[in-house]
Amino acid sequence: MLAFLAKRVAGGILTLFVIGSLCFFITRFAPGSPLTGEKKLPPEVLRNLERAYNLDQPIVTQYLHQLKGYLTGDFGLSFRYLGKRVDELIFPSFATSVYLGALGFCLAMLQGVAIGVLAAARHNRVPDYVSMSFALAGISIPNFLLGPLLVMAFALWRQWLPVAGWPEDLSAGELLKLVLPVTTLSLVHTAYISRLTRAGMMDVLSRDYIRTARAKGLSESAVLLRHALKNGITPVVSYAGPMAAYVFTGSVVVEKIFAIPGMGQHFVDSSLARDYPMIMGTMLVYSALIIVFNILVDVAYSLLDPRVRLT
Amino acid sequence: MSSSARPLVLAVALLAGCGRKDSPPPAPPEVLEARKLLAEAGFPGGVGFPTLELLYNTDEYHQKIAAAIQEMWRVNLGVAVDLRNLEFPIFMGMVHRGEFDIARQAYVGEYADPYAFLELFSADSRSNSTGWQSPRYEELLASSEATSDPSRRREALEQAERVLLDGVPLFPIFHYVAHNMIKPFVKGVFPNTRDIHPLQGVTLEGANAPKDGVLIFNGGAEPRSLDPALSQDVGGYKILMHLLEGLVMPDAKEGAPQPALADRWDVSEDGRTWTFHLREAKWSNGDPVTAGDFVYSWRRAVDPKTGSGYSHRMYALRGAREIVKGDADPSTLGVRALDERTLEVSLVRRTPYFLQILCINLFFPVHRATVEKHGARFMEPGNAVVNGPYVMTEWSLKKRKVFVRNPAYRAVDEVKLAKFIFLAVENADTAFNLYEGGQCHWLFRIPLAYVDIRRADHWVNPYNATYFYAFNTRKKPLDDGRVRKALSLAVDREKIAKYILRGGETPATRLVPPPSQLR
Amino acid sequence: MELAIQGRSPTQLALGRFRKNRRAWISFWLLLVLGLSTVVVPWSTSHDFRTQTLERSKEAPNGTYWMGTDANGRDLMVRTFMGGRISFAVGLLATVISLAIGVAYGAIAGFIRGKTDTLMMRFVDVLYGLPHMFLVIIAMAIFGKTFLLVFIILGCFSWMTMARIVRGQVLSLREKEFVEAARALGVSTGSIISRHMIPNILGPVIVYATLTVPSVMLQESFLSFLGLGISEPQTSWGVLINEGANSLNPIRVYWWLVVFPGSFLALTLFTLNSVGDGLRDAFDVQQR
Repeated sequence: MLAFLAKRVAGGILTLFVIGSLCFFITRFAPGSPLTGEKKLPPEVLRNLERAYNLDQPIVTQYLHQLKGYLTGDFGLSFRYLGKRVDELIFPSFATSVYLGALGFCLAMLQGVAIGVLAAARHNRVPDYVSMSFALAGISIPNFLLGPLLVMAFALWRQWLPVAGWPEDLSAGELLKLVLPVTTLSLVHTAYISRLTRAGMMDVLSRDYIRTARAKGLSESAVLLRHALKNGITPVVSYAGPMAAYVFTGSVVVEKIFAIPGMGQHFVDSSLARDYPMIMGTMLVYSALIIVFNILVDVAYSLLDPRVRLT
Repeated sequence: MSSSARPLVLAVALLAGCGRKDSPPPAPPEVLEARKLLAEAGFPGGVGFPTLELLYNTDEYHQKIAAAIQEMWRVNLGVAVDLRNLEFPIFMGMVHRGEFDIARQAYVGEYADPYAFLELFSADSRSNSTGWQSPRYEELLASSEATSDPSRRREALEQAERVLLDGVPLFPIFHYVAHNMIKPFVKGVFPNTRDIHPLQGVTLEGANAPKDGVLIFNGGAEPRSLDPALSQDVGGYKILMHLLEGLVMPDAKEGAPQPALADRWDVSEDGRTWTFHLREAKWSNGDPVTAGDFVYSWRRAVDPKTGSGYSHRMYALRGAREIVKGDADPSTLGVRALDERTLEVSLVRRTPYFLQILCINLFFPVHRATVEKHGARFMEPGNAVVNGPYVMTEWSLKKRKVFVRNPAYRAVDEVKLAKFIFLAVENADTAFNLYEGGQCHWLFRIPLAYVDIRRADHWVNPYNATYFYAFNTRKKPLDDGRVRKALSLAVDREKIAKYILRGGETPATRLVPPPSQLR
Repeated sequence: MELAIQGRSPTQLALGRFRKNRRAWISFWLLLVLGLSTVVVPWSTSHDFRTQTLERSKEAPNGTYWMGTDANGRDLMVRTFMGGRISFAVGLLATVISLAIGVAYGAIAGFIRGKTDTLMMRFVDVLYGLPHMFLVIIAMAIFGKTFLLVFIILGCFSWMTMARIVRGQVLSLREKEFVEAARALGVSTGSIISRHMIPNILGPVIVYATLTVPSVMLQESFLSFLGLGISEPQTSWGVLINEGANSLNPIRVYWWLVVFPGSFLALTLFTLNSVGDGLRDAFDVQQR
C-alpha cells in the first residue's frame, strides 16, 4: 500500500507539472490580454505595464520565471486585483469552497446511495418509480434554475431561511445560510449517484452469489448492504472522484446566487479577465484535487473488491 | 389509398396549410428613407450586402438589444448580421485594435459638458476606433476651447455635434438613467445626474431603521484597484471619494464641485492659471495635508510608470501630454506648490469644466510615505493613511468593505453617518433579495426582469451616459456614409427603450445626453 | 424436414425484451415524436422564430402566442421547438462521441492494467486539469465558429468520466473466472475486451450515457452564453431555460419562460432515461 501511494504521489506531482506547463502555454496562446481595459492605454503606459508584468519577455523566459516562483512558493501577483498575491486570493476562497463542497458531497453520497439501493431492491415497483422520478427532477433542473426557485420558495415567500451569504460564525442563525446552497449544489449529484447506484446494484443483484446468499437465509438488508453494495457501488466510486474535485472547488452558479466568496468565481473571472497567475493557481488547485481523489478512488476499488490489486 | 394512410395524409395537409408566417407591419418613413439610401449605395433590398458582425460584450441587456437590432435590419432592410459576444477584456481589445465591423459602446461623462462626449471622436482621441475624422469637426472643437463667451462656445459645440451626427460614425441607442433602490429610512440622499452620493450627510431615521445605525450599501462587483491613480470604474470611485478628499469634491445634491480641501481659488485673466488655497487638514496619521502632497500625487498619476489608463484626463494640465507620451519627465507637469498651503496649476488653455475634472479620483492626494513604504498595497486597511471622512477598517475581497468615521478628518463634525458597509455582491438578483430581506439598504442596479416596478423606494433619474454602436468606417461597405445612415435609420430606438429596457431610458438621436446638453 | 425453430441472435432477443417493456417502448416512441416535432412544428406554425413584435414582449400565454412571448417579443412556442433541434443534436452527437471514445479507452486501460493503464489514466488526469474554456476559445479561433465544432468539443470533454466508470467496472470484471477461462481457451485480448467485457458493463454505461445528455445540453448553454456556442437568433433549451431563470424574481412571475422549455427538457430526459433503463434491462445478460 505504501509503495503504491508513494508511486502515485510522485506520479501526481509529475502530472501537476505537465498540467501547469500546458496551462501556461494554452492560456497565453488564446486571444486576449490582461492589459486591455475600458480605456485604451497610451503606448508608453502599455510598455511600462508589460515590463512590470514581465509580459514583454519571450514566452520561455516568462515560463521559467513562473516555474522558479512556484518552486520557491511564490505564486505571483494577480493581474486583475492589483497588488494582491495569488495565494492570498485563492486559499481563503478555497477553504470556503471546501466546506461547502464537503457538505454537498457527503449529502449527495448518502442520499444518492440510499435512494439507489432502495430503487434497485424494489426494482420496477413503486419505490423505484418514485425515487427515479425524483432523480429525474434532479437531473432536469439545472442549478441556475433550482437555486432561485429554492430562494423564492423558502427565503422570500416563506421566510424560513436566509436569502444568501456565508456563515460568519457557528451560531444556528448563521449556519442556516448553508441549507439552500448545499441543497442546490448536491441535488443534481444526488440524482446522478442514485441512478448509478441503482444501475450498479441491479447488475450485482442478479448474480449467482447473491442468490446463494439469499438461499442461505440472510436477511434482505444483510444481502443488500453487506454483500451487494460493495460491488454494486463501483460506478459511483468512479464518478465520485471527478465529482468531488468539481464540488470541492466551488460551483460558480451556486456562489453567484448565494453570494458565497468561494473559489468557483475565481475560475471563471480569472479566465475571462486573462489573469494568468490566477488561472494557473486555480487550475493547479483543481488538478491537485483531481489527482488526490483519483488516488483515493483507486484505493477504494481495491478495498471494495480484494481481487483488484493495487499496482 | 389504404384506410390507415388517409388520416396521415390529412394531417400532413393540415399542417402544410397552417405554415403561413406573420406578415411584417407597414414601414414607417425612416425605414423607407433607409431603404432608399441603401439602394442608392448599391444594395437595393439588401441584396449583395455582405454579412457583417455585430460585436458586444457578454451581458443580458446587450444581447437583447443586439438581437432586436439584428432583426430590425433583417426585416426593414434585408441586411443580415451575425451577432458575436465576447467577454469584456477581449471585447475591448478588439475594439481598441479596430478589429470589428459594428461594436457596442457606452460612455459615462466624467463631467457634465458636451465636450466630455464630443472629444471622444476627435482625431487624437484614443477612444475613437471608428476611423472617422473630420477637419471641420476639429475646427469646431478647437474654437469652442478658444472662446471665453459661453454662447459662442455652445454654438460651436452644437455645430460640432451636428457634424458628428451627419457623419454617422456611430448610431446612438439610448441615454441611460440611474436606478437606485433605497430604503425609506435612509435620509439625506438626492438623486443627481452623476449618481454620486456622498454618504457623510446620510442619516438613518424612522421606523425600521437599523438599530446599530450602520448603512449597508451594495457596491456591485469588486473594483480592480483602490489606487486613485489607477481606478477607472464607478464602483472604485464610490469608495475612494469617502477615503480621500481632493481640492474640490462633488456635493450631495447635484454632484457639482464644491470646495473641499481647497476653500477658495483664484483664476488668472486668461483662465490658464489657477491658484488654490488649501484649508488646514491632517492625514489620519497626524501629518498635515500640504500642497506638496498634491504635486507628488498628480505627478505620480501622470507618470507612465504608474500605469494609469486614465492619465489622459490630465491633458488639461500643461505638459501632461508629453509626459504620458514618455517625452518629458513628470516633474514638468503644470502644477507646483507655492507654499505649504498654496497650489498653483497651469492649464494648456482655458477649461470651463476644470473644477468638474478635479473631482475625478485621478486628482485625489495620496500619502507619499505610505506609498513608498507599502507599494501596491498602500490602500489596505492597516497600511492606509487617508484624509477623507472615513477610514476603511475591513476589506474582504468580493465580500465587503467596512468604513468608519475618520477622527482626523478636517470636518469630522459634519460626518453624520458613523459607519457604513459596502457589500460586493455581483449578482443583481441576489442583491435585491438581500435588500428585500433587510440585509442591504441601498442598491444601484436593478435586474432587467423587474426594472420597471416603480415602487416608492425605486428612484429613477437621468444619468450622464449614452449607449451607442460604433461603425468601423474603414471596412467596406461601412465606408459609405449612406450605408451607415441607412442602418442607423432602420433601428427603432423608441421600441427598444420602451419594450426591452423598460427602465425609463430615453431613446437617443444624439450622442450628448440631456444632463450634458448646454442650455 | 424444415427447421421449425429459427435461432435468434442475442441482440434480437434483447430487442424483443425491450419491446415487451411497456414503459420503455412507449418512451421510445414518445422520444421519437419529440424529436420529430422539433423539425415539424416550427415549419407549420404561423410564427417565425425570429420575428420580434417588441410591443408584445413578455406576454403570458394567450390566443396569439400559445406559450407566450420572450423579452424580445418572439413566440416562445416556435422557439422552444427550434431550440429542441439544437439540444437534440448536441445531446445525441456529443453522447455518441463520448460513448465511442470513453468505452474503448476505459475498457482497454482497465483490462490491460500495468504501465499502459497508468499512462492512460495520467493522460486523463492531465485532460481534466486543462482549462476547458481556453481550449474551446483556441479551437474557435483556429477553426471558426461552427455548430459541428461545438458538438465535437462537448463530446471530447464528456468522455473522460465515462472512461473512468468503464475502467472501474472492468477492473472488477477481469478478475472473474470466465475471463480466466477465455484466456485458457486462447481467446485474444481484443476479443475478450470486445466480446466479454463490454457487453457486461453495459448497464452503468447506458445509464451514464443518458446522464451525459443533460450535462452536455447545459454545458452548451454555458458556452453559448459566453459567445462560444450558438448565437442569436438560434437558441437551445439550455439557453431558453437560462433566460427564463434570469427572469425569475419575487415581483413579476414570467413563469412561461421557464416552464415550457423546462418541461420539454424534462420530458425528453425522462423518456431518454426510461429508454436507457429499458435497454439496460433488455441487455442484462444475467436476467433470464
